[in-house]
Amino acid sequence: MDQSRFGTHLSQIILVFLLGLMSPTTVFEAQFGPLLTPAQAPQARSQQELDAYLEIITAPAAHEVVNKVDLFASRFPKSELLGIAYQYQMRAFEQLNDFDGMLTAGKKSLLSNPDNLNTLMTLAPALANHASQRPDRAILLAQAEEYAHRALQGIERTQIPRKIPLEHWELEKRGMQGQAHEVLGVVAMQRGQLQTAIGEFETAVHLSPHPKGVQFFRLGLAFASAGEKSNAEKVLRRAAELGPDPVRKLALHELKKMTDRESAAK
Amino acid sequence: MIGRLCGNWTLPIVELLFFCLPSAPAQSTLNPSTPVLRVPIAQSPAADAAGNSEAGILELARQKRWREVAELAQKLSFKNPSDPAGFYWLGIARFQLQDSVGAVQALRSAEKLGLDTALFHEGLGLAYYGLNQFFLFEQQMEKASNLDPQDFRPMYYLGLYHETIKSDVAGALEFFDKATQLRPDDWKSIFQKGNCLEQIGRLKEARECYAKAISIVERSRVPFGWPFQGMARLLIGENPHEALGFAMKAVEVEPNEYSNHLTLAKVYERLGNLPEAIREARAAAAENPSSATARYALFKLYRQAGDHQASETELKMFEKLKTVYGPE
Repeated sequence: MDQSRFGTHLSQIILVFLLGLMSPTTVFEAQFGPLLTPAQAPQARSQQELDAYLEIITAPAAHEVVNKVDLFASRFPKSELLGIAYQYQMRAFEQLNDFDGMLTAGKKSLLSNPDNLNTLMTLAPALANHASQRPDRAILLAQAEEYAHRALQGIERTQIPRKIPLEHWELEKRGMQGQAHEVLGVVAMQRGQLQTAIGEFETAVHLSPHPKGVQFFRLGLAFASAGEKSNAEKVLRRAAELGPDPVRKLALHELKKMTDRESAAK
Repeated sequence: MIGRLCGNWTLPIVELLFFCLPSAPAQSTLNPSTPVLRVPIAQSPAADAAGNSEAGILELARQKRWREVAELAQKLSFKNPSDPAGFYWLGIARFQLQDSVGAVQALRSAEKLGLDTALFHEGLGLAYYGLNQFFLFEQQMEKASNLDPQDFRPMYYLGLYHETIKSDVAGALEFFDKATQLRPDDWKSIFQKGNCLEQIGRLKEARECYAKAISIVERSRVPFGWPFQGMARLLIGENPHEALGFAMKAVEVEPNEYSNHLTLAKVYERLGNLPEAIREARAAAAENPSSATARYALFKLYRQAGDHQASETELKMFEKLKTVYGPE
């Protein structure tokens, strides 16, 4: 493995995340959306408690959500709705690009509901994405890996409300599984475990109901890092075909670099 | 295990609040639109101040033009923010538009401005129900009942809650019983009471309730098939030919209700008419593709008919649906 090339590829994978090109996370409505059984719904114990909660979920701006959740937590520290409120706060921090805030809120949310797919599927890619820039990289990667595995187990166990058609769920499920495998691929890539990374990215592409350019791009980089040139070219071309533009440019750039290197070698 | 779960097939779970029923005079008494349609303008606390705007809203509400009701109510609440009427109508319209969060917020504004009637609390309670906030729902129904002890609806709604959410059939029966005492001709409460009685094995009383509900429903020509289905279930063992008539009537009245087809399939099966039974079970599965029960019925019927390939396919589908959706 060429270390410098691997490092470049890794940073490009991270760039793909930072550009927001990760396949969109499937998010179930945190509350007041479909529940398997309504009897499971957390209950507000007073009208004031629910009023405050509704203010959170209808707040128009992310920073308002953050503040309102803190206020809610201080007013109703024992609220059954608190875990979901923290989920909203986690998403708000995500919008504000506040990784530490997002991580803190997500972990608080997981205290109430350790297997919540929304939270796991939000935190796992974020952790994998940010790990390389942090001194606690190894810990964050381990957490990302753990959350991705927990999400995969949770997806298998999930029972869905009857109003969601089976076919729709099958697609959603594959999409979510694909995302979790993408995270595992990025984690493996960051650890230099290229064959594992290739396997995970291939699984992600295979599972995705409509594979995206970015997934092929990531796989292409993993192949390239592992020195599997022909596979890399094949999937990078596919990434360029599928786009969107930022991915297309990155894929074409990578293909050009590969050609240039080949010419130089001759 | 499978047999234990599906041997008797499932009892129907009536859609809470009967959202799907088309409007009819007798139905409107239990339709969520009731709070809107039943409030005479003069009874509204802010009616005099609101004047023409509220009259316009009421007319739109009668026509079920809920988006326009919401727009007008919003304007009314902006124009006169100390008047609960605008917020009340806004809440009702949002509820009808399936926006329970918006409904609760608007109705709470009306409450803070002093609105405190039985109908208002019913409406707010139903909006809480829409958000799965059952603790608050119960509080509101209690308030509504205290303010108007003769109103049967809080009892009816509480009965549905106990039956469908808490799976507390005995508790539900008490509420439906109270509802029928307050309103002896309310066929939905009578049917629900019968349904609870059937579930706890008091079949003779259940049959009386279904018969009474059927009599009222037929008299008022309401498209409500549930008591026919219930009667068919009760008769299937002792008199399947009579059960057939009721099961067919249920399908005729509500052809889109999958459980009506399923009951008819079971009656046909009992009568040894497998082709018709399969046809009806297929109709049930088509009406409700997430129903594992319909698939299990098809599995059994195909097996009896000797079509092992179709039977296996249905069994696999049954298992898949049960895994994905959980028990029915």
